Amino acid sequence: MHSDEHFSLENITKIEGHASLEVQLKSGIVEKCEFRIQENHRFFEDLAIGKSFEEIPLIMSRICGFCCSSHLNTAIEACEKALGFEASEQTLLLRELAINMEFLKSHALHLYLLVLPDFLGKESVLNFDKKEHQYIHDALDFKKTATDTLNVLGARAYHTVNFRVGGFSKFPEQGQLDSCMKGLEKMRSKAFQAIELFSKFVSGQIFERKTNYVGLVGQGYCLLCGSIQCSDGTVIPEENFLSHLEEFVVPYSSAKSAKFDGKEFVVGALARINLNGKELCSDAKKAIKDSNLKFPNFSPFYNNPSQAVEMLQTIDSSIKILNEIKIRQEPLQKISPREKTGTGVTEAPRGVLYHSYSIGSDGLIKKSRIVVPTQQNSKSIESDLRDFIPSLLGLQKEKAGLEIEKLIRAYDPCISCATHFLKVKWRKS
Amino acid sequence: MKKNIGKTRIGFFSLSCCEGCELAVLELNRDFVNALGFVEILESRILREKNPEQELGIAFVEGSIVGKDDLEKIQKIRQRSKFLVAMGACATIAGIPGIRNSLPEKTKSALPLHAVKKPLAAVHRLSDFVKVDFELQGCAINEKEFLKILVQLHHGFFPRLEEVPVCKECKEKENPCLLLKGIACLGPVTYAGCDALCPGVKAQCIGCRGFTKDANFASLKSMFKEFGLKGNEIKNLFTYFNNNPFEKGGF
Repeated sequence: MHSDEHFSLENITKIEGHASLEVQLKSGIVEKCEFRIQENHRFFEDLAIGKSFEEIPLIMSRICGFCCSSHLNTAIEACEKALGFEASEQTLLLRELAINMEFLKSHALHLYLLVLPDFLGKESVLNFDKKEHQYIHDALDFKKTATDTLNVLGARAYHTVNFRVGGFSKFPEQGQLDSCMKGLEKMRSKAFQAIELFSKFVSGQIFERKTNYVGLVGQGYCLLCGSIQCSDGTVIPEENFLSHLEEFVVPYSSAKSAKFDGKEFVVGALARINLNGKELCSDAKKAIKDSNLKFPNFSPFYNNPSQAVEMLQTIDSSIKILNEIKIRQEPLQKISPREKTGTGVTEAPRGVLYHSYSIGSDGLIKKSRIVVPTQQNSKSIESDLRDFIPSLLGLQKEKAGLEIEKLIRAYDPCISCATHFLKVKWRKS
Repeated sequence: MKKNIGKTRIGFFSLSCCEGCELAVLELNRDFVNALGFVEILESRILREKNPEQELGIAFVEGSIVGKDDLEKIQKIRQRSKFLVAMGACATIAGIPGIRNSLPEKTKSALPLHAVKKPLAAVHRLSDFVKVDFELQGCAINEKEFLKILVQLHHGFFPRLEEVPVCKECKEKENPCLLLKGIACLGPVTYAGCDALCPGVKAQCIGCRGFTKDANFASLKSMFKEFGLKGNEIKNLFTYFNNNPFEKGGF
């Protein structure tokens, strides 16, 4: 790669969704760096209009296959808040369990199937040789443990059925949950190995860039509720998120970008551990120490080992839930509608996820707003690349391209999520 | 007598969707790895770095046709594939993205259709524009059904859809009938193959596998009216997933 070069990476692979990158270098300085999200709009915020609050979670689940449980449960939380309904403790625990499993599944698939080939110098997981096949089995075993539990909770792994506004259409049987626990316990040692493996791959990485990190903080390593904290010290309640968030349209991308209090920021696994690492379970903390990981950390590449740490965290947190829970069959609560707006904020695998719905007295949605992790990260991806690309000068073009893709993949961008809400309010003058 | 038929060359493609159907294939777990013994995944943007366009035995395509680029993409895939299999509700019945087709005119006209990426006037399933050899229904697809048709096509058999409604599977599983409890369920007009998954957990069928050919919409609608559902509630239910602009169960 020369100091004056124009290049583009069309159709970045091994990420969720369609995106490309356009870079213009002049005298070794990045003059233009555009992370272009190229999915078509599906207008989810508009699709919600006129639908009943009971239908909303099942529709929103379809925003993304990778993080469907996060969208589903965030939509449920928003609707229940609008309706003034408080879910039972058992329901909340099972929802938390589902989110934990979503993390485990999403992180394992991303790390082993999409990231690992880069580090092993392979084009694809499909080209792994015999001795590397164990990694594919590990990935599928993590995924299977998570989706077996989601199957028990929600009747299937993707777009689960039982989770409803008001509770569960049907609770799982206690015996089924006990077998989930056995599966999770088996995966603990593999999770330690994952942390070691993905720490090793970033140990030589010196690139870092200080920025702001945003995530949920509260009691424990919270994924479902809490306050929104920025690493600059700001702490705000969930429902005020939008008033601190500035969303803007970039002409080259089909997803909006965002700033928090006027500054670009990062959400996701690295942000969560930077902000909330002290709340990780004791074994996750021990694994961090044993693998020589340092937090807070300002290298975007460390998002990968952070995800591995969260795999152990979510396994242990799930085992704790399963130890506590004794299932009682509670009937699904029928909730009468009222006119109000409700907001749900959760941590999705890729970061802070915001859903808000205004429900009318007839129970139909009048307005909806959704903010997803990848659109929050898109500015930081570009800024990281601006700083990172000059260090690749002199490398062969293909090698430089791979390093750039590695950085983008470290963010685990989720393009389906990012685009599917765009609501531009510009008018041709 | 065993004939060596070689590996089947397949590709996975996604148009506008959540990409959940491609993930659902991974639900085959070890069987997925075993399947790699008789198929070769030559194209998959999510699994492969390099995806040169090539001739394929089977193209599995998920997602709806939302924008012009989706349309160009599916036409190219069709040209170089022997079999084209549409995967999931988005690809077979326009699905959730297709709700846009069923929005009231007022909402529809307010959509930012001049946005950064211009969408087509309506959201389409694949068969509106290209020949589709087989449709794998569901949101998301059933991985066992995927494997079944993969094996059949690999061996040169043409798979056949069992054309029965969800009610048949519900009866087989001895699920209590939701309609008898006054719950509006689309089981009688929706293709089976899901093992009556939703009614099995006391949740109404919302039609993600598409409407049966001989569906009696009028009778079901009048039953829902008797249950006390209002017109818009009935419409919402029928257009949860079934939003094809050319063929919509009476809406």
